Amino acid sequence: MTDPPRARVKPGARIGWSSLEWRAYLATALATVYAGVWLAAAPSAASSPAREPPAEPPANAPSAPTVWLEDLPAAARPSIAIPPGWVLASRTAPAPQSVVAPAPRVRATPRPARPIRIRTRSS
Amino acid sequence: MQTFRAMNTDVTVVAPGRDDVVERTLAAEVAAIFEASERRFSRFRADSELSRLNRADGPLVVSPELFAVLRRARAYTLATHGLFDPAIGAELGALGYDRSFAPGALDRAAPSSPPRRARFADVLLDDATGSVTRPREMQIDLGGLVKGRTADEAAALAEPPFAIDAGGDAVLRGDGPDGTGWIVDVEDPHDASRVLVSLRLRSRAVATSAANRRRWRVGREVAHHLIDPRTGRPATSDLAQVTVVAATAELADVLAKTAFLLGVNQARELLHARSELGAVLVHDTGAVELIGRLELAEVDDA
Repeated sequence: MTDPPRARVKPGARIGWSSLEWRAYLATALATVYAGVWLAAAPSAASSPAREPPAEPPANAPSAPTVWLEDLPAAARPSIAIPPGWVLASRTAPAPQSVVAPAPRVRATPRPARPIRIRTRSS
Repeated sequence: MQTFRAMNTDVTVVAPGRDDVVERTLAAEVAAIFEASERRFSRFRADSELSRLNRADGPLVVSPELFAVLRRARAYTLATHGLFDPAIGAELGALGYDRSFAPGALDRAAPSSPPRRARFADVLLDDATGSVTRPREMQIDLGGLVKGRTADEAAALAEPPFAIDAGGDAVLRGDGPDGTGWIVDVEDPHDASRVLVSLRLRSRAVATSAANRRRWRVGREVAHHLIDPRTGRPATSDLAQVTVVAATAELADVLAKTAFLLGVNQARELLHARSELGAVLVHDTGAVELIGRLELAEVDDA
């Protein structure tokens, strides 16, 4: 295996900045650190502007094209496949109370003293 | 033995030779299968996929699982010349069976107006799109078929011996707890505390249909859940009960219902025609008739 070549630094090399350049560098660094801390401390205030209330649509604007599925003519209704357990909202039907039922609870039945027998009957 | 409640009945799981922890784990897996099946196929749950289909006014793309069950139902409808017909949900609803059965809960003064008769053969199943279109007035009820099918599916979870009994529809895998077969007691429809006959079965399924249990009052009459699709009314039969032994609980359930509707003579013909079947017919006179090669076991009425 070979390692990738590394940049060599000449021993004793120095950065030859003037005092003015040093001041500018320090001011920039401090400003950057201050801005970083301020953003971390108050992210919501910094990242999201205050929310304006939604603008009211003009009174004469057309309403949004929303319609109940059952209000469409039968021929115009799209076929919609939704996952098991989901329900299409309906204008007339009440919303179901529960969507996901818990699994049935299993309970142990005491083993009968006599051999196990199955009983068949109408149910 | 482990028991849980699903599909409005007690479901028992028996895994002989396994310790309790293993048996309980298997039963939990079986329970999850039943719960998923009920969530998808129940006509009593507003959020089930079947209920969505029963509310749809036009073509509805359904899950592959529901489509497969509807295809099976169609095959049984054709094979029984329409006697097995899952399109009886509206008739049951008009009689009051519009929620899970409980004694007395369905009683009513009079039936609702009976809907126009629709046949399951009128349902359009589009293989290309997976969509289903049902006549607007039709309500599909897959109850017994799905219960048997779910028991068949769940019984494949474990190596034999293994049994699942879903309220009388049972799948029995292997040679039973002691290698001599599973003992199945056939209940007396005239006295539920008695056993009429006991069968010894190996790797078979069994299902029973009778009008003695799910009964309720509609005015002065007594209704029950076995609807004759030829009339849209609770069936009248000279059979009190039919028990069928078959390879799967799904098939046993379909044949037990069909034989009950056919009555003694035609039920005999139907069940004699296939040598792999067995059956116990209980006439309304109380006479018991065995069909096919059935091994009997000693009745233990204790």
